[in-house]
Amino acid sequence: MTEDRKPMIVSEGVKKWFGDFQALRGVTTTVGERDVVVVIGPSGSGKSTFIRCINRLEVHQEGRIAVDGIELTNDLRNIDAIRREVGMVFQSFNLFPHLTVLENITLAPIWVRKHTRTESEENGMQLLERVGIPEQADKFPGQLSGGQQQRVAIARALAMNPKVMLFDEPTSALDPEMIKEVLDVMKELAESGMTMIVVTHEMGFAREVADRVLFFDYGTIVEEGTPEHFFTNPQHDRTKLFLSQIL
Amino acid sequence: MVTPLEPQTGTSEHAKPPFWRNVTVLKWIAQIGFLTFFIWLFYILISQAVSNLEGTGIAFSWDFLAEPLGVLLGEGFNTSPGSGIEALAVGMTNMLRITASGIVAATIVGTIIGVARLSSNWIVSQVANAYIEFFRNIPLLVQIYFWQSLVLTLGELTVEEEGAAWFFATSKGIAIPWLTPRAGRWQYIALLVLGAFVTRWVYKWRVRILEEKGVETHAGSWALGVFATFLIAGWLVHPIMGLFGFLWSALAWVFGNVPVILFQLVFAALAAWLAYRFIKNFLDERRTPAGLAKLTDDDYFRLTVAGILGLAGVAFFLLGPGNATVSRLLGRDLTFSMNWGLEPIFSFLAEKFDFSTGLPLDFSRPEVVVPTRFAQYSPAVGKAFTPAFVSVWIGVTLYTAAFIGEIVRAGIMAVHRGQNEAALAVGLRRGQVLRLVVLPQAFRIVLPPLGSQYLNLAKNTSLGIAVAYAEVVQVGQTIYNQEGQTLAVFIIWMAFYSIVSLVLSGVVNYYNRKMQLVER
Amino acid sequence: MTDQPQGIVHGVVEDLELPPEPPPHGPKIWIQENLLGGDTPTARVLNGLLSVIFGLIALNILQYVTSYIFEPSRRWSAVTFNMKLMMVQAFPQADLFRIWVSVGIFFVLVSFSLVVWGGGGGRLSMFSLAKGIRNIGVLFMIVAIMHGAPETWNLVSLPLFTIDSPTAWSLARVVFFLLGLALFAAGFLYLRASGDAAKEQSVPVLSLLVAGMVIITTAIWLIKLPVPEGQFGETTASIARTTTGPWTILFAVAIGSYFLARVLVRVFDPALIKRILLFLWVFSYPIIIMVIQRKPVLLWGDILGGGPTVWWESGLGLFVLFSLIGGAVIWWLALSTDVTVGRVIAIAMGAVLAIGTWLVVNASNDWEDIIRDGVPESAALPLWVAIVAALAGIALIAAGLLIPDGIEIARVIGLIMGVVALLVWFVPMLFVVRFLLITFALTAIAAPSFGGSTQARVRVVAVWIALVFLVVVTFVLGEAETALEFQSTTFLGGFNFSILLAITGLVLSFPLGVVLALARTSTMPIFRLLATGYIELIRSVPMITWLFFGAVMLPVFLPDGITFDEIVRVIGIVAIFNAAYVAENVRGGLQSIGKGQYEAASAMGLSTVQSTALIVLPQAIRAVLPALVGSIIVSFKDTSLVAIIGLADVLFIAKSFVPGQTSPHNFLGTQPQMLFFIALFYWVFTFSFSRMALRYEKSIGLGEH
Repeated sequence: MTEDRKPMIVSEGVKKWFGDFQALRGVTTTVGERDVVVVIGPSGSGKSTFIRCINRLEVHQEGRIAVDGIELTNDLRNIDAIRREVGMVFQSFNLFPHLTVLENITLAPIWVRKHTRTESEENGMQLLERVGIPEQADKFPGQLSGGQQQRVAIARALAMNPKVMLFDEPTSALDPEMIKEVLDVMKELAESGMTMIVVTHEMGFAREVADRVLFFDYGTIVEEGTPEHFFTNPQHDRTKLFLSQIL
Repeated sequence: MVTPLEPQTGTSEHAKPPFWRNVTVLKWIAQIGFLTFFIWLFYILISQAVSNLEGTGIAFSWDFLAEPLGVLLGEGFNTSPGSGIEALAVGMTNMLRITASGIVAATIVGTIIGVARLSSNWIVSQVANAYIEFFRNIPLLVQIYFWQSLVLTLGELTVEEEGAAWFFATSKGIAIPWLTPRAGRWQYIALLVLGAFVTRWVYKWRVRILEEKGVETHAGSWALGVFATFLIAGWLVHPIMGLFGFLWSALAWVFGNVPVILFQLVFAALAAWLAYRFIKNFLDERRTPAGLAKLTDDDYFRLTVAGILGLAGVAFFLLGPGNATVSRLLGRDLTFSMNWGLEPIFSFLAEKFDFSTGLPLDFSRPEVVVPTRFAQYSPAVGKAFTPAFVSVWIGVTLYTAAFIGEIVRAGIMAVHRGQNEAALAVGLRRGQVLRLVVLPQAFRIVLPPLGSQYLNLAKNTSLGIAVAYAEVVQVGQTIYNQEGQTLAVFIIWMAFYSIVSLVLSGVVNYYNRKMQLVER
Repeated sequence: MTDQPQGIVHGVVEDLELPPEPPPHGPKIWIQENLLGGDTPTARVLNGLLSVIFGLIALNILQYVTSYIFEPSRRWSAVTFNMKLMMVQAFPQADLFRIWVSVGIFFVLVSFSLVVWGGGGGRLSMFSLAKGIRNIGVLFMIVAIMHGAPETWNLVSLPLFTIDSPTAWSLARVVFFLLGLALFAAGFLYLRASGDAAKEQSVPVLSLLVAGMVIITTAIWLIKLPVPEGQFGETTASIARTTTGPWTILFAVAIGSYFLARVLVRVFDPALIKRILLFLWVFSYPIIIMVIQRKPVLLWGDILGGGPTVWWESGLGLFVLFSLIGGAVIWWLALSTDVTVGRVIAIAMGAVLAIGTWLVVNASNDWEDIIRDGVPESAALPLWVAIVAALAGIALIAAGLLIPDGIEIARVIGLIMGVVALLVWFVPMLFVVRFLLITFALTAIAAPSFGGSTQARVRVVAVWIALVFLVVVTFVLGEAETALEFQSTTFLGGFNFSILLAITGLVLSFPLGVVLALARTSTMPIFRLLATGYIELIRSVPMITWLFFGAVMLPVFLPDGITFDEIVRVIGIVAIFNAAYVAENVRGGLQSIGKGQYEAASAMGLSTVQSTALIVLPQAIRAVLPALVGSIIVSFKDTSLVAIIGLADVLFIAKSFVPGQTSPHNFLGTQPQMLFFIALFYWVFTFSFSRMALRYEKSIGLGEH
């Protein structure tokens, strides 16, 4: 645990319903600065819903979420501020197909951060180099492979200089041979000290990179701990069953 | 595990944000602001129109509906209507006449064209293709004008032809033999409606036996037989339906003697009930197993608006304006010469169901009464169509058929590939494949665009005004040219066409939903 | 176990296998397959029967049509004599070059676009070209034979019109037949000779286009058409030089500018040319209508100020005033991080608004009278508007004092400006100022969303100045008298008018349609309700009803002193009507965009306005472009409806003007053939346009991803 670090994301008893269905049943956790937290769990367990609540793509109905000291409410300014601080990478990339790779990356810096085009483009090219595909800058997303698209998506999120990065199953839609290139970028990011919450099924990644693993089921955190603890000595029956099925 | 929130993590922000930063509040302010503006604008425009009309000396009023008009209409069940509302009723019937028959004809022609378009026979498919490309690329109005000019170049209607021919195609119009309804038709129709219900029941009953026992029960033939029995036997026994006459008289009495306040109460109760239903459904949707979920600000706004609307409805119907509206709806205070109240409808029906033994239908040939005129709409003289009717009818039918042809073709193509092969593989013949597999599925795909083509056809009948066909737009124009009540006539047009559209799309949606159910 | 191979290495097949030989083909097999096909003998017989019946029907119709066209008593001179009338109606002869220039501009733009946006329609394989030529040849021969066929050949003889059937082979018929034979032989022999090679070879569609132009040019110089002679007579004559000359020049210009464009693309940056071309496409049309065709009389006093016009009511004055003052406000609104300045500006604007309206109201109303007699009817509306404007001013002051954040002050200012601009619409003032105020309000509302860095602020202000320029110029040109001398209520008429109506109606409807579509898909129920109501009401009532509304009733709804020309009203109505249909199309596009795009945009911190303008709309509009192109065809066909309300479009002229002429030539009774001609005319336009649209649809279908 990383109690000594400044808490970056605080969630307290977060509950969320979709109609009759309760997706989150009181999620309480804290993610410290520079923490890498991997969230695992069966599908439908609410793990995606939880991280989507963190940047208010979904609106939680009870409980509190605060990011870097800003609480998520209906306040226009808070929502804007949090979205500036929290970058998100989606399972299906969600790149904008009508813009080039570089335009995808510079869009938010220009329109949200109000940077000039030239400085955004310089920064964008640096990010593309960081994710290893500077030569694709002028192509359209449709011309790239899945792995390349996801790396662009990561660069796009990084372009806003976020304090937290959320990854919603970033490798699930990829062919096996492309998963590694995306995971490598994520590892590099984790090593550079970014606060990250990663929903994934990549147990190797969790073992290697995570500071902490959260196991979700039925809309709540069933178990959490360090990777060693989690993978070698799970406490809860549900966790054991889940691990036995996927490992 | 629970880390208490530190002061610096934002407890100070926990309070509700100020309203100018609250997303929900802002959204509602924007909406209500715009709505207010919209209503205000509407009010301004209407009051401007009313004052402008007063300035021209013709104040807005509905009086022309009840007052006698001196207009003559080209055709219809009453060519010299006694009042505005009667004239409009003639126009509406004429419009519906062309719409209904046009829809049937266009569907038949269009389906043939669509299937022919896909024929493996080169000539057939090329002819169908030429048809589609030709008719859909020329404006309908040009086509209607063209048909009109063709009909007008047909030969003269001469005296020698009187009673001598079955068919007439002349510059005065086209006439064919026809079945004319007689006094017994009301009872006969009622019997047929009853027969349809019985047939449906018999069909379901046979199908149930088939499903239970697994033997062939000939459900289709049974149903056909039952309906045919009704059709034939009804010709003779339809007077027994006169029994319904008692029911109609009773209803007429009820509607004739119930005070208006009862209707007001009914409408008010309806408004309250609708609001209640909405609120209840709304809350039910958000209710969770653990009890009532936390409602968002948005939800509170919606509930409040629903409640206010419900109360407004109740107040509206119970107070003065509601009284006036209900009176108007029931035709009490206004003395329209055609009374639109419910009571006259039922008295009318009661009169028709009188155990009379007349024939329901009669066959007749066209007849030329005056040397140059057909005897139109008189009791027993076939069916005569004016040149205006013919040109509009041919125009909209052929034009719409071109579009329907394309739709049918696309529908069949959409089903074709795998389904066709699968059906052939299980041993069906080509004809059976088309009838049993392709067409039913194509119908489902075709239905929504078909519905919009029907709507287009209904709207396109308004081009009848170009050839002076007395449909609702032409009649309306005649009225406002005479009375100056443009605004009132326009409101009637909008209401009429909206209702026609609603009914048509309602029917299509009903079938569509039924189809979707079948799919499940 | 061990001798089992652990895996099999297949390697890669180096040589691709050739597809199997296609089955043999030839006329006999073609007939067997396409006319007599079937699984069973009965089916074959049935199919043959169908072929015969449909073939006869087709031939019969063909005979009717050709007989109708070539019958000597037809007076096609009615068409040739009135061609100018049908195209441009009363446009004065002396200024006719203005029309030619308009067409020329269009041709040049098309040529340039073909080069810049590439392709030029791609290539057509020699196979289909030769097949087409062969089939046209067959058609020509059939027409030549059928035209003279005896009446007994008719399946059904309809008493529609008498068919004159000369059995003699006139020279024209023989020539026509031989032409058909030549075409057939050319196509057939080519296909025979080259065999499968014809499928490999192809020609660019563009060179076919050029060839077509050359052929048409030659034809119009050589061909002789029927012209009227005396009251009822008819003779043939060459086409007038005043027609052939301009067309020849236009074709030459089109071809010349194509090659010029190819040179220019090599010399300059294609992206730059693209941008210029887009600009020209957008602005050429209003310039063609407002400047080239309308020949406005520009009163420099009105434009520059001086004379009877006060300088700040002149075009230039308005432009300078609004650009400077509005530009300054928008410059600030576009950044608005400096809270103190924001407050000061808000309070100042509020004070000006509140005190200004108070002063104006006070000056224009006699308060003693009002207190004594109540508000007079004529002053009631301006009074209410002024009161609301004053309240808005006070609200602005309050906002400046209360709201602690710059960008929100900017938003509030934008919104209140919008409300005020809408309200003062009803206050008597220069019409152009009303429009400028609305434009200002819209720009002010958008400014906080699209501002930011200095670059972005400059851009927003530049857009504002461009908008002011556009509005002012439009009004100056619109208010100017035309110098044309014509015998009609308007200089627009005939086909020229139909085109104007179709394009303007569609262009104007586009923004409204987009807004409606956004409102209809919005999450805010009241906007959704209003948009749905509008769209459904417009769509459920036929267009002719709306045209009557525009022609007869619109003036009734307008306040005193505001009048529009009937043509302007009709254009407005067409735009309002089309907007509902455009909205439904765009809605389809909006629904085709995945939820992920919205989520990605908002996760990046883009506001709703930004993500709509930058992410959602560009994609949605691209998705529905084919449908929108299709609606151009519908819109063009629908313009014919204005004939019903008596506007002189091409249909009205052909149907009512021409058959009513008695001198110098008598064309009474030519209505059916004029309608025949006009049907063909519309058909050629809509058919070729729909084919182009289809090609375009396919090309973008292949181009995407």
